[in-house]
Amino acid sequence: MIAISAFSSEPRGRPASTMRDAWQSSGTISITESAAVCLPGLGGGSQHVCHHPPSACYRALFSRILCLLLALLITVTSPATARSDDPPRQLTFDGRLKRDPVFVNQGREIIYAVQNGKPRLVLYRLRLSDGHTERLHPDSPLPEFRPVYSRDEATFAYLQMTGNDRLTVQVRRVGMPQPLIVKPTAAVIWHAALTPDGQNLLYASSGQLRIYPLSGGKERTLTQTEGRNNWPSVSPNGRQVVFGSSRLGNYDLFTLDLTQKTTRRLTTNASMDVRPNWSPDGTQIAFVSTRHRNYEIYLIGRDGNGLTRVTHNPERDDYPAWHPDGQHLVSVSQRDGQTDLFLHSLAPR
Amino acid sequence: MIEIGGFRTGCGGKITRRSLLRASFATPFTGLLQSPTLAGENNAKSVILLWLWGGPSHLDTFDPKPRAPVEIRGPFSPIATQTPGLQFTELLPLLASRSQRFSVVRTNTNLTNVHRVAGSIALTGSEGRNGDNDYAPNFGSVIQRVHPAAGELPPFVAVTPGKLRTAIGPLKGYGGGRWGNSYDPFPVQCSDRGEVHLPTLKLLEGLSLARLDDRRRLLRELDQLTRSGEQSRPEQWTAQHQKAFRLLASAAGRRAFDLSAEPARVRASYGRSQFGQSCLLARRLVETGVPYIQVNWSKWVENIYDGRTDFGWDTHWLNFEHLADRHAPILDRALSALLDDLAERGLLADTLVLAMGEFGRTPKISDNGGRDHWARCYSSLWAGGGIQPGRVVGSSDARGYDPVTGGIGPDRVGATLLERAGITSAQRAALNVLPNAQAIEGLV
Repeated sequence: MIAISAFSSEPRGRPASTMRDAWQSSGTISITESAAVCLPGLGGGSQHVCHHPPSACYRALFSRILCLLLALLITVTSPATARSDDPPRQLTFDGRLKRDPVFVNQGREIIYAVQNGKPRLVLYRLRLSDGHTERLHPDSPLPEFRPVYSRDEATFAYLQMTGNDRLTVQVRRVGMPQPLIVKPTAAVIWHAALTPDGQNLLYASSGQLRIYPLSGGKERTLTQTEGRNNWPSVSPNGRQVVFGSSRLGNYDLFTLDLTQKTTRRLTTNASMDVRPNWSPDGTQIAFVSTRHRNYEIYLIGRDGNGLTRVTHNPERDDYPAWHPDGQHLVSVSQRDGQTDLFLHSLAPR
Repeated sequence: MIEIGGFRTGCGGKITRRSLLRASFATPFTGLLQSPTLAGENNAKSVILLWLWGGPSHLDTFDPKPRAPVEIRGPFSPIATQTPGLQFTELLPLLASRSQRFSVVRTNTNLTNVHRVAGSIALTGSEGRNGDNDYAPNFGSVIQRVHPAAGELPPFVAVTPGKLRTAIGPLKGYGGGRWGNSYDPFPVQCSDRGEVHLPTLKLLEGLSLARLDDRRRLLRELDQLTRSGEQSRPEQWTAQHQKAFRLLASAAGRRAFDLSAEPARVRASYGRSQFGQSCLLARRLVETGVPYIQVNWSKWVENIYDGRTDFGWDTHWLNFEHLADRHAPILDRALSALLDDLAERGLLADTLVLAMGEFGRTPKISDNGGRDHWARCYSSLWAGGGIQPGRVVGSSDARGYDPVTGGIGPDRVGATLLERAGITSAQRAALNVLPNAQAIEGLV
């Protein structure tokens, strides 16, 4: 079992915040004695109080180390799949409509958009160690959403509304005091993405995917099909894009090889398959589908095999985003009518 | 929690002494208005109009065209409903699974593609006589006039995030129109957290709501205030203020606006969205006997472009993204919960629920990835109040451009709604409200 120590153990002598108490009381993921693994970025390790004789303790420790190594071996050699026995961990508790979460700061924080503030779409930062939230741009008067980051997080982009459904992409780079503002010429943009190296911006505009080199240069069209092409997500090696497209009727998932310019269909389903998101190791894609008449999160291999359902919730589960460890997903999910961020644990296959 | 003016209170919360006394100048303490009796059997005792301001796309909601060319059909798949032969798009699975509770009209038409004009016509049933400045009364105003009081609450309540408007200006047909503002709706705001705000009264904190029931004490304080020269001018108080005061003076009225009294399960079922909680408030108002409640999806017709606009249905751009991301899931959940809740409480038979916008949207998808205004054909959803459920009234052509059966104009929508509310054609004629309009055949 993978444990998220920050959620289940409170350092002694430190007063717990209300939020943190709420996290602990509502949580179900716990540290086990056999294999306690800290999820990187989610806080410090667990604390034990040992009541055994030293020799027994050493044997137990040796056994635990063996188990841990075995678990790690399985973890690194197997793609993640949906874990059925662990309910997701609730990360926010305000219940407001949210969208577009993304892990940053090596998984220690999540940036996401809240839909009911003023302005209507506001970017927030959630610190996972204590549940603290704050506005990312406190002084921004305009709606902002869809934050995306390069792999090293040196480049950061988000959409900002500047007119009646008119959007620009604001690109910020470390060391660059003013944002680079990308104003696409073709109608309205949506669903921006960055290549992992932070050198190119992808976005959907007028139903087609486009790529824009941030160092300057000409925007290129990546798709030219009927229907809508949306939600680009670039593979970790930067060679492929996965996206949703209605070119053949309704939304299904496709991959586009940026080098060979070849397109491959990943899903064939009568319902929506949308919002694909490439896993950090590049082997899997998380996405949202209404194939069970409700927005649920699924995984599929990059080759289109190994479809796995992650969520089984009668309410909506949407906007999956990968933790850098590849073993967890954050989602925007509804529970009892409230919309919050939830963390889903994925077990080795 | 109830919020009065700019301040929130619970049912035992605080209201200012001064504001209360001001209100008392205009409101007699001799008793609350009597409950109306809505005439006739099989009539709706209440009407809830869910106003989808901006104009939802009929093709992407209640009238999908999966066999149309790609530039028309859009990306959403059709799904079966419980009604034989009726399909919705996959964006509305909850409504599809309870279609036996309602009927759908697929041949609504309006007279213009301009929001403010079309909206006024849709809410009044007729065109303005002198352009924007002389509109017929809103359906709710008509009901308010015929049934002037609903016990202790205003007879026409608009649960709304604000006064309906577009970027051009306000909607004219939202209230009394040529009858005057005394027939305007009583506005109530409801947040996504279920906090109710009564903007009519700008009260200060300081006086317990419980003291509103102590009229002798109020009169004494009123006398003292008059002697001290703090008296406000009664003529400043409009009929709206009187309605607000009556509401505040009524324990039942205050209870109706207190969503915290609802079980968590019920509040959750509507979804913690502004529209969802507004629908729940509408149900509570029905229980209290309010005959007409208009729940507005948004204040602004526009979707979103700055900090003001609030996700209206006017999806010229990014229609499919907005519908799938936000609009459809919220509507699907809230309307489904409302229908279930009314039915489980035995209220649906006596409550007409109508969901519609001012028009539909163009079948052909625009270059901006959206759909533009389309008044020639669109859909509406009808339930309860004597409406026969599980029916599909009318059909549009294969691409959703026009009705292939007769189009149903706003006058017939109004005639049907008012008839269901117990207002006869003779009463309409006497009021010069849609005197020649016929109710929609096949709905009742």
